Amino acid sequence: MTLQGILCSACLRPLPAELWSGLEGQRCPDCSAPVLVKVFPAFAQSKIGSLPQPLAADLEASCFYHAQNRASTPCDECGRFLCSLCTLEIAGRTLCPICFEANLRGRKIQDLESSRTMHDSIALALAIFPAFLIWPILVTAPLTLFWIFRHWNSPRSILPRTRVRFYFAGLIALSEIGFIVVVIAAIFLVRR
Amino acid sequence: MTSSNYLRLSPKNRTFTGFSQAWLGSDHLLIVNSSRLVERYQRFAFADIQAIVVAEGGRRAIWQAAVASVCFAFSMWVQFTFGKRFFAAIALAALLLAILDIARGPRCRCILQTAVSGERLYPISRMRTARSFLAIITPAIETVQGSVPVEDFAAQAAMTPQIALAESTAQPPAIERPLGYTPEILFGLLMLDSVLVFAALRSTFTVAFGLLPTMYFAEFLIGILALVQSRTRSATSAAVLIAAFLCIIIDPFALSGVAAWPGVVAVFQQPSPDAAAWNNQITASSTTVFLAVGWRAAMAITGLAVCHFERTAKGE
Repeated sequence: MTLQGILCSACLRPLPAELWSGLEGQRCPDCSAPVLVKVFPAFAQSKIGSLPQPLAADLEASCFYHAQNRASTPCDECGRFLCSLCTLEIAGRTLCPICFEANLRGRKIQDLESSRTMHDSIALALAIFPAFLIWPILVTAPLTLFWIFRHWNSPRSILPRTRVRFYFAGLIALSEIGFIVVVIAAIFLVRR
Repeated sequence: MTSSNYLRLSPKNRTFTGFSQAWLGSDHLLIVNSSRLVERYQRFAFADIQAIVVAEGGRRAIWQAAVASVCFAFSMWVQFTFGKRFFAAIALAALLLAILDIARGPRCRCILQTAVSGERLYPISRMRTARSFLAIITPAIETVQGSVPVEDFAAQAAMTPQIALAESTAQPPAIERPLGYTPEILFGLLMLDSVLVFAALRSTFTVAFGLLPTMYFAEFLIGILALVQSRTRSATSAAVLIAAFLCIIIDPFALSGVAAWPGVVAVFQQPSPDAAAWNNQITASSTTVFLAVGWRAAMAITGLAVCHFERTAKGE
């Protein structure tokens, strides 16, 4: 049993069971803050992983990583036999620890990714902020265009997001390059 | 558009550095913490969520109204036109923020509890958002976990001796963050600035025009940084920091800035300001110079002493 108590989110003290009804208008007895509690069945269920079974006979298939354990399932990626200790259920697939790490490094499973870089926001920032000081656009405008081409197909956010920032960044960078060209041309004309 | 199976659960909870937002996935809750250039994801499987607790609280409107009142009072008190406008603008902004805060409804703290953690959900920061969040996520979780009457949980809880999480679980030792040196830097800067202010107010407009704005900017910037980092500091240190910051804000509009400003205005009002005008001596009274230098020196000595005693007490 994993029953530990539900804690008030304001004072972090346990809330009595009478307040778990999920009704409005109840108050924490310790801090008097109005609380809204929603408890789910997982609260009362223990989640103990199954223990690996030892080999009963020499002819039984053993785990690739633990020779003393009976294999219970193969890895969906490499096919190695795995005991219940080595089995990882990720996004509907059964993986061994090595394949799991390979997927994590290769960013093959979206559900494993813990962060993503927003290259479109970087391109937009690169196009806009240096423009306030004017002269850095000599470097940052071409750099913005390079960044857009380099990361056009890079993974974007896992949330709904368009490429509109790339388009804006590109437009601003092109305008800045046009401005630079006009200024240089004007300097040459004035000198003549 | 990126193909996505996520449904938005909350509006963006914006901060100075980014935002956080809750999304509903097929079998998990996704919390996105964005610093604008990088997004970080936290996933909570529906099967693992034990409880969601929302507690109302944290009214900031009172503080914002208090700031507005203080600023209005300053705008009345300060004689300098720019100072009046500056404080009036801050007061107006604080008042608008307070009104907006009230209009958005009461704030709340939402904690998602699993078997091994209690995670604060920052995107759920208003009671209104919390209600709509619960209305969507509860059926999604119950689809995975099933539904059990609350009375059953209560009965189980009655049978099991209830112990606070803090007592039942072995807690890791608390990590003590070392005290930063930002307050010391601020007070050191104030000490240095007391000399520079004296030099600026006893010399020409050129010197004052070069020195004073840079000083104000540096003091303001480091003051903000010190205030932000003052959470780990003692109450005395925090009080001295707040006092120092208030003096930093008031000084340009009441002391050194007022003394230097008429001369600068006079220079710029001339049709063609010549070198001689810039080399005019600043006509600051001795009292102004004494006060502008004095508060900096006094605050620097007090602050450095308080920081020293705080470090000694903590054994650093």
